[in-house]
Amino acid sequence: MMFAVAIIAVLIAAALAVVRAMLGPTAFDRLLAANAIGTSAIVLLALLGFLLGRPEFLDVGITYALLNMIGTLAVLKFFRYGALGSEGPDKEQGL
Amino acid sequence: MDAALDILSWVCLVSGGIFYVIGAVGLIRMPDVFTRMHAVSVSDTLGVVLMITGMALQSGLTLVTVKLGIILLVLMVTGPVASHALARAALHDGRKPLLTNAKGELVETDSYDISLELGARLTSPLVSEQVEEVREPVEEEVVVVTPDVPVDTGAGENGAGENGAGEASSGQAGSGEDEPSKT
Repeated sequence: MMFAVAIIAVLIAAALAVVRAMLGPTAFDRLLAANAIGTSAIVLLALLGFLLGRPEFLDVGITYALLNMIGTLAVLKFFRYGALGSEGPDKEQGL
Repeated sequence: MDAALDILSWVCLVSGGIFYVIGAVGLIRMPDVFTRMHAVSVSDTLGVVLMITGMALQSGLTLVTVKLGIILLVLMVTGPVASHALARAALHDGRKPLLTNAKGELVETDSYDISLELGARLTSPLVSEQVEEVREPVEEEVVVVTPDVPVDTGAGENGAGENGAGEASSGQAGSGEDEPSKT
């Protein structure tokens, strides 16, 4: 019962974050909302594992937590430099 | 003992849910990227910590609690890093934080460009603005004082004397300026 209440709260928060991700005037607003949705998805997975009595969901939650930050940093680097990983035409020619 | 643990985890989960929803409402209602990040940090720290504490109280000393601790550790480390990178990217893109000016209006302020340039360029325009604000009231006071003198005396001698002195001083200044041109 208590997990159901917490799940409802997290779902409301995730819905509001989805609204901000669709409204957001800049890309940074959308990215912030996406990060919030990812965090609430992790908490939601843990709570769902407790509600259904299947603690294996926690491993999925750990994986999501590791992937969430990598995704945010990758999108930020893409916005800042316009590319992922390549450091300019000179080094690519050198390779 | 079980009842006490249940009550504690109820309190943790419900207050964590409340903080989570508060952070999400702030994400909707705040006017700026930086203030929205400030609102989301509530649900990223207090909401997550309280919810995981509530779940750990239910699971006891098992492997599940260890996994919950790992999730909490990862979120506590990566959340601030992602927020820092997001704020730096927003500032690098040219977004300026909304701050209230003297009139209480929200304005994109340039002088609080904190992350990139802290130094003389930030302080110098503020000092010049303060000096201009100090000078203006003094001139207004002088203008207010001089019309009272002819009205009170009626004779206007003081005013005439002051005007003559002013003309004499201006004449001296003019002659002083002219002398080097003659010689």
